[in-house]
Amino acid sequence: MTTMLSRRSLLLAASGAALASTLPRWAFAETPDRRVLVVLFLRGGVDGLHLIVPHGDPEYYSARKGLAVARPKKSDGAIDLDGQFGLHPRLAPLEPAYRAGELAVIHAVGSPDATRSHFEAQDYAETGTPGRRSTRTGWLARGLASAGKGRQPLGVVALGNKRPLGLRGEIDVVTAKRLDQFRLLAPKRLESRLGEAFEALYAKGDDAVTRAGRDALGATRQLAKLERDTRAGDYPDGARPLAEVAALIRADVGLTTAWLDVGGWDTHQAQGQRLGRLFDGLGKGLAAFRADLGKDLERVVLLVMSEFGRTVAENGTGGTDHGHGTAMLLFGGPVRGGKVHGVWPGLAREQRYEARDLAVTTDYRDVLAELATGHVGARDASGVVPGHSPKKVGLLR
Amino acid sequence: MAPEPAVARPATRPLTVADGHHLLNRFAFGPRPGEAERVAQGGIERWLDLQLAPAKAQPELDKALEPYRPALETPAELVERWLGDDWEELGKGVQKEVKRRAKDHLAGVALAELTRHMLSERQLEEVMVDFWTNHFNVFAKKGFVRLFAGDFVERALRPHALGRFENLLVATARHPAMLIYLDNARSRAPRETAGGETRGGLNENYARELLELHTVGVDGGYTQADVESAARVLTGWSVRRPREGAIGFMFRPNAHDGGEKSVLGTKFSAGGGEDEGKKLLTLLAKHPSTARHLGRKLCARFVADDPPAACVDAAAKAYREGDGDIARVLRAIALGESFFAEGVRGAKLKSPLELVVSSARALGARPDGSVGLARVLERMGEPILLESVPTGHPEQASEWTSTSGLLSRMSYASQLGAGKVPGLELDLAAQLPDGGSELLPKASALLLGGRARPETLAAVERALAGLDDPAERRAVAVALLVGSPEYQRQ
Repeated sequence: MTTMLSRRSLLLAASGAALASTLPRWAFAETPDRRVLVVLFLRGGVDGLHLIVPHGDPEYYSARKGLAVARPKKSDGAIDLDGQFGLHPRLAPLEPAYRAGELAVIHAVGSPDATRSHFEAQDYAETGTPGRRSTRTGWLARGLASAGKGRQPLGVVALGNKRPLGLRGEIDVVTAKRLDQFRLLAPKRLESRLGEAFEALYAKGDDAVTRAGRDALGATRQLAKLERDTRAGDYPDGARPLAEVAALIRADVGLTTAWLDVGGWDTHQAQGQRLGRLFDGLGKGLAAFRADLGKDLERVVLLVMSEFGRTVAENGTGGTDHGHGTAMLLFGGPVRGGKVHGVWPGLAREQRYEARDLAVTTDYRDVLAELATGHVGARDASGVVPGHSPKKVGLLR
Repeated sequence: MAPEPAVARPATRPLTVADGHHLLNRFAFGPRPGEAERVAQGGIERWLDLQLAPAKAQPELDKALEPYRPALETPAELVERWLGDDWEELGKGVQKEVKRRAKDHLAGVALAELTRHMLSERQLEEVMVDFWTNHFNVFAKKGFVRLFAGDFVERALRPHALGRFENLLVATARHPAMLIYLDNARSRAPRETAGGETRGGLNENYARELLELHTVGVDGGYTQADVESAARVLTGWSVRRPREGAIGFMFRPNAHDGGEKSVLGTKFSAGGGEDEGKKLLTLLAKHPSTARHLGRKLCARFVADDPPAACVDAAAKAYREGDGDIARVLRAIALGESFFAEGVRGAKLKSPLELVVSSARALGARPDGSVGLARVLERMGEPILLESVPTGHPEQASEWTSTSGLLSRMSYASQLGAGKVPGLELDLAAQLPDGGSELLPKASALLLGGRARPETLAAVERALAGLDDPAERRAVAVALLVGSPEYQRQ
């Protein structure tokens, strides 16, 4: 069984020379590694052509008579980024971050695998091994383990219904729908009595189970304090998870990674309205996150990703169907922002993937590997995206 | 945990109640009240004989199962009930309606499983159904798997859970749930187009997992070429589409690759057709690597996460000698030298499913006719038939040991003590009539059979101090014992 070292025990152990060779380098550094990666996973396959509008490509307007976002400067038109691409108008709150060089776009990015099944494509995007069904650990979990991170209490949190596959592996993850729900669920009258008794039951013992129980109870105590520091009021409805992550980052309790699942992106019908509403929340949420973090944004990178994009042409119900390439957003202080990264494949029929979808010109594994080695601190990319030799995209400063 | 005292093999001494607990914690979902005592009196072999004997009527179980019977209908019965007799004409509407109905249906399937895990006398069969459900994992939220997943457990896994592995393997290979989940249903022989290109149609997903997970194992000595050949052998094994009428397995001759193939050194001559899939499964079921792979997995389930070589050897030998008779393998493991060896007792972590079922059994709890328990397991990370990766829910302790996992266990225990687990009916006063000084010894004996650490008992004693209401005292004692570190182990 893997040994599990809490941050506290690491620091205590640092005085013992015998253990020195087993400790990650940052344990000795004058300033600990305080970098944070936040993954915002848009479940359902976000339409990259609606998120980041290729207004410079005339094919876009001929393929999407009803759904296309108008050209910049027109009424409710895209917000131009570089003469070719523009933000959806509901993402206007993100424009200042782009101008400040803190927001980057990667377009025509995606998987080398052809699947259009949500769960398969999500699994692949999380394992980092597209086409391989039996990988049962996540790219980010492996990256964290390689960096010697992910074992301290509250080091990794996942806000959603379950621990995402991307974080499965030899790390510890606090999983909760909301962090204020990460507490012992007991009848009110007995809650404190049981809480104290569980503390006693898990107080001693160095086996993995007892340690995990002890860490769990410790985390509930820390999170109860944190709740008072969550500035939920500054965020739009539905963005509480972002507010909680920001509070964790500001509190400096050793968070290295947060994973947030957001659903609703599978827009087969009425895409214009539905994405408009979702982008509105996303734009305001990220802008509030930026304001909330202030100087702390310097150590934070936030990745917005999805399992695949959608068909270039709109369907008969005002939506789009499962496709291939899409767009990603990268946001934060260390990001080489103010730029749309990637190579545009074009939207003409013969330029599309299988004559229907946005083609993939940047393998998403290149992005994941760059973040894992350049920001998470993984020693190399081979464990993060096994079987793939990543090309440098140049996403980080 | 306090180190267990060295325990001699029961063959050399009389069986104790603690031995009974150990056997029932692994080969059953934990003891019901009085059961460990009966094993101690009757012996291990007698218990195994009863478990492996043909099924007898179980009226108590049948009654508890009644609310969940509709979930056990065949896929054909389900679509007729949901869509009416003319469902074939609905076309795309079939999928939409199946998806709409699936959530409730799958919760019912989960409860039918849980009810039998909790109440069936045939506990070894129940444990093996859980084992095979993960060994032959399917993900019930992929397309039409929704319609077939319950049937898969009921009619492919259950009838063969203690039988011959080859029959089990064939039943899973031909079942629409597996054919859809691992894409064999749409795998086609590669064909040359007019331009001379070969167009991909071959899908290797099932063939790969068949070798890697279901039979010979990742170290079983196969190559990528074997995977491809196995996939070609299985082309044409498919499922009827709604508009093709009826429901179920279908061989598609046009999709089948009629060429010559070779898998693990065995030739499949050209023109083999549907039957060569069966030949492949027989070859794999009889392969010595399969004996070892399954022996290892079964020893990991019943003895230790990292199983002792003696156990694996004995299990593989029993498999080979019994031509894949699963009952014989289980007997070899239970009666082998490893099972009662030092350090084995209490050394395996219960999965969330095992925690929920064992605590319910110990306290005489049962599903209340609703499907609330399905959500409980989902929140604890082990929803039945809803794991997307082909390896199924894990067996290894390290995969279940997390802060969130432990907190959810303590929360479950706290709700259980208060009788507030959604979907679970529990009368603690019936099992623990004395809420006073006899409460803790009795609850500890029921749940832990003498495995409670002194410091655990002391902590529970302190928590009970000053509480007079018997119901609250029971709630606290049960919550803390079920949520204790030692109760997470078996």
